[in-house]
Amino acid sequence: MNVGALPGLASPLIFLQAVVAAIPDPDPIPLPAPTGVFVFLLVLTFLLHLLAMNFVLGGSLMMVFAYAQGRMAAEEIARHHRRLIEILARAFPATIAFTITLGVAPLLFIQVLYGQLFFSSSILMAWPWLAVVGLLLVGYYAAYWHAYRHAALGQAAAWVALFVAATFLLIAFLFVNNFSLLQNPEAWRPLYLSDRRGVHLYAIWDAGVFPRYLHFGFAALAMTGLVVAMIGLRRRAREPEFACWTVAHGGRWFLGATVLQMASGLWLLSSQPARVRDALLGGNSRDALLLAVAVGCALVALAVLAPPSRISAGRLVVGSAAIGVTVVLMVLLRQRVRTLWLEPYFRYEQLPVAPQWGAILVFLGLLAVGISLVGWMVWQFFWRSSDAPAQT
Amino acid sequence: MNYPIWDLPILGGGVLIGTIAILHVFVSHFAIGGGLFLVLTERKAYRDNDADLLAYLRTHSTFFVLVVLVFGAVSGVGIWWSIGLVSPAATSTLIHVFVWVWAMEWVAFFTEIAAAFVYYYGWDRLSRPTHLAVGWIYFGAAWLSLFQINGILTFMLTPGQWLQSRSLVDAFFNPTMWPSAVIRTAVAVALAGLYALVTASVNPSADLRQRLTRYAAKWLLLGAAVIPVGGLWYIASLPPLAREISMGGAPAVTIFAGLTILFSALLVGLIFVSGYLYPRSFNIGLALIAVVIGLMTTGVTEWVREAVRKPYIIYGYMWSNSIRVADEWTLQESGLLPRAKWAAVSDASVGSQLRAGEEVFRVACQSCHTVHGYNGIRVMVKGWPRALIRYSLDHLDELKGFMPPFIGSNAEREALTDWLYAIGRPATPSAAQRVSSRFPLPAQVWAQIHGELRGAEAVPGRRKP
Repeated sequence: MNVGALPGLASPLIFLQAVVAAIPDPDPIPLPAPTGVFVFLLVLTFLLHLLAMNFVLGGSLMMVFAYAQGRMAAEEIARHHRRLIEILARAFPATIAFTITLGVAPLLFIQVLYGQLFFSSSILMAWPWLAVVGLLLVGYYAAYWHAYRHAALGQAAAWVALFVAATFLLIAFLFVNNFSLLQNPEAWRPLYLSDRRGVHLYAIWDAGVFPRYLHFGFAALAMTGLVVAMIGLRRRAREPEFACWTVAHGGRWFLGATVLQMASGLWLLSSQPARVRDALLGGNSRDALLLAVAVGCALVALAVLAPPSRISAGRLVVGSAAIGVTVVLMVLLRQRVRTLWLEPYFRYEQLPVAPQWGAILVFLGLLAVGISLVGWMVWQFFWRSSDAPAQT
Repeated sequence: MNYPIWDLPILGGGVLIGTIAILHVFVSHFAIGGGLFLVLTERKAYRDNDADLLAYLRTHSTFFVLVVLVFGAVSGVGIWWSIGLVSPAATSTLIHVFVWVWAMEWVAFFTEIAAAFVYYYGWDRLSRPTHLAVGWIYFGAAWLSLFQINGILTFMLTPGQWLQSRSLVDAFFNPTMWPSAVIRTAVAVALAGLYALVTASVNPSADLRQRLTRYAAKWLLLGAAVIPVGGLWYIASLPPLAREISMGGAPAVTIFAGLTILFSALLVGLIFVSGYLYPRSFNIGLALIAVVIGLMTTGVTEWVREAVRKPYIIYGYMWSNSIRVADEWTLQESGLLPRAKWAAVSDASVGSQLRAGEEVFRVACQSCHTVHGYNGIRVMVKGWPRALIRYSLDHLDELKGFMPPFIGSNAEREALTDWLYAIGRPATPSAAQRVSSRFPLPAQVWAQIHGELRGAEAVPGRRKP
């Protein structure tokens, strides 16, 4: 359903003016840095958030499948599933924390660059958007519960894992809804005036949300597959049998999810407005090149990592590197697609700018200190384990 | 007005933000003080070679991680969510002024979370000096995060020189920044003691339980001793109107300010007697009562801090209904609705008056009032004669110092008056007479209202200075 089609507005120009009129005016306080700086930080921190988020979302799903598959498999395989569940579950508390922490930064930069759009779309779906906080809280506590009590929980552990996965899937869906609505101001006013209580779920109005959601969801599964294969490789010496199974298992997930991801990518591409689709398919050579290289790298990874039973350390490194390039390019492309969607209505380049250079320098200095301290702590933790720990 | 307005019936946006914020404050201050508690107590345990104390700390650190890393972090995100939904214009202002401070705070937050995990999982892996160092990194990062957010929060009440200079340094180092930082640090120390009393009270060893209870009580009492000093300094730095509102100007705020003192005294008294003097009798029941009183203290204090900022959301820059002070006179002439991008009615002088009035209410009043619920307007104007409603609108800021003036065109003023009159109309005329006769305004004010309305063809209300 095209909610943008307002009756009585025959002329596209008048329609465009009506849409632009609903977009809030930019804040009169200028942006405290050149827009390029914020775009760079937005893309960079989103990329970091995405990596952590992929593991949380994909890992929680993989855990649910491991419970289901383990129940049906022979004891030998079921044991591997249980071991994998244990490893994934233990990693959750920290990875969820870093997903949240790394998510705060892109959220900040989205608000400074696209605040007018972000606040508007969020208010239209205020209740579903607010539900993210509640879902995160219960999903996070459930993940802790599962991490420390899954052995004691017995049969119920699978249900807790399912609950965790369901909350994260739902959170991801709500995010995709908001960020799809953000880039489509045409939909705003009709939605708002139909109900102002902030109850809209954009997916109900625009089915284009689903291919985007699936595209991201399969990406998370594929990435988790790769991570699981790496976990397997690292355990070759200690648990050879489990390692061998895990590498192949992760590889299978990667391959299956990547094929599905490509299919959903085609669907996503076809669901884009003509101006966006045309740009990506050659209308804008830079965008088309980005897309072509990204897809090419994913194909390379597929070729290198198939069949999963033959994955070696070398192949995994090459495949991961290729996927790494794909992820970076896809994040850049995502930013480009948003720009293309918004082009008729909004350009952040037009926002007033008055850089706070002093504050930027302090930020960079503090960032260097923060990274050094975190690096030192991680080094101490993983590589400098003490023979005489604080407490035994 | 620039943004869509979220209709949040009964509850109202303020209650939503308040609920999330109070819970977050109660946990996030523990996140800071609790870090100091962990690292200083760990050092003490090493110095005294106290294995029992160390074992307790480990249990306490599990509790700490579960409360701080999950609830503390997620509720903090919740504040971002809620302020963006309820007050997008003010949030946008803060983001534009302070984005780099927030970026710095993000570095502190990230370091803090990383340190918390390394500390928690590091009991069995790190040497004692390294473990302590990680604890100090945690506390340093956590306190820095408090310091940064405190600068942004206090800016909203006392933007100080920023109003003229628009300099980030003036905005951050504003008049109440330092006193507030002292109070919040002291609160963090006190809350560290309060939460430690909970874990101490369930320790299986009677001897350790007694020792820990007295030790934790000292933390709470020490923090509580510093709070009044910071408090006096803070009050001295407040704008005169804010001080007035908290000390009699607005009865509800004054009562809550009194409750802050009462609850604090109750908590200190309870902990001094049961935790410090007679730790043997202390138990989990008392600890939980203390937590509830602590939460109530936090609640009323934060409520007062928000309330004294009225009639502004950013003092001197933006009224509490998100209208910028600088736009006031333009909007007085052009009207609100033509500029309200999301309103269903764009001109109050055509079409239904009631519909236009409701839209004006949404834009000008809904950020603080609901219709039927919290701070509900219907009860407030119930039975009021139309003339009184109109008079109140014309003199809003004079009659109630904590409210902004009504900003809008004459047609909008009329439309809002009609709508308010319609929703507040009582069932019978005799009831109306009863209410108006009881209304506590002196006779000369009534005469003035009628006189002014008779003679007032011109636009009443505030005149451009």
